[in-house]
Amino acid sequence: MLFAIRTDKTMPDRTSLKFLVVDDFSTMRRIVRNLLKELGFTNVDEAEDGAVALAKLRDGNFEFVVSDWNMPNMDGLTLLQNVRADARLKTVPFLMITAEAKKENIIAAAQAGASGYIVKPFTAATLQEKLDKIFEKMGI
Amino acid sequence: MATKQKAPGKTRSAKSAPRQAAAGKPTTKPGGRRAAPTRATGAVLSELKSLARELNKAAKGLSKKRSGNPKDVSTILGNVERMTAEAATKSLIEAESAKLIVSRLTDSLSRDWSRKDIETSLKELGGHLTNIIVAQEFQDLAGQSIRHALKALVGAIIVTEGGGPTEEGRLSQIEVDSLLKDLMS
Repeated sequence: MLFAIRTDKTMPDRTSLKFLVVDDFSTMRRIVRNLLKELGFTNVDEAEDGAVALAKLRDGNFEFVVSDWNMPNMDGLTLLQNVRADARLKTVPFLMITAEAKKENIIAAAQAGASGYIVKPFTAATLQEKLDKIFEKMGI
Repeated sequence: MATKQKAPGKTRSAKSAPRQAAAGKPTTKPGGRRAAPTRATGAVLSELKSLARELNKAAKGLSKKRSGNPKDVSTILGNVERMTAEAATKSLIEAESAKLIVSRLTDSLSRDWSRKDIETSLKELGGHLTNIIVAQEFQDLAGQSIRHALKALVGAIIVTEGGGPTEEGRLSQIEVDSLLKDLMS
């Protein structure tokens, strides 16, 4: 599945979307949270690895996942595969932000159903561009 | 009561045979029976061959690790140094630019000032602060690199994981976008 995007009519407007930022480095979580805030997204929660993220996703009504790849316990790709395999979560947009930038990584992420892929180091403009692209496909 | 008699030649293990030979003890029993010592020597030779093979295999592994690790660690730490330097330079440039704007704004307050100019300056200021925030991402990348370096250093004990933010084989964001576009079409 490539670029699974939620397109139902109950779609919320952009700024009210509930984000989950997943990264084992607190600095990176903070950076992404700051950037999201600057783009108008204030409903943001964090998780330090894929396992914590999956539990939070199953408990809460998250509408967007921004995740790192390399993490302890459960990596970002496994998290993505779990999300896509979960009937309730499978349509949640999933943006990967990672230092893993080899061809096989990109292919694996795309095949697992990533909605977008950003390589570190990245800029605020890149994040905005990728988010816009995903929102465009979501129709919001 | 019957007593068990041990067969000649079976009381000596393969390991004890060379020790006895080295000590000058006879390896044959009086009467010239040589079959048992020959069997023992054969077992020792076989064991020695097996040990030699194991040693050879281990030596190959060691030389491989020794030649790879220092280079890997050097490359990784070199990347860390570059990342920290770039982040520091970027942060300094952005902070200096922000300070210039603050100074310009402060000066303008004592003169005629326009709301529009102040709004523009504040937006510019916000942009510089954002860039300073983003520049801190080096900590994530440097942290991952240091973890890889640590793993490489203790590679003899801990199996080093592949991947990580090394330059080799990495695609740029433009290349990633292009690849994703191809995969989608």
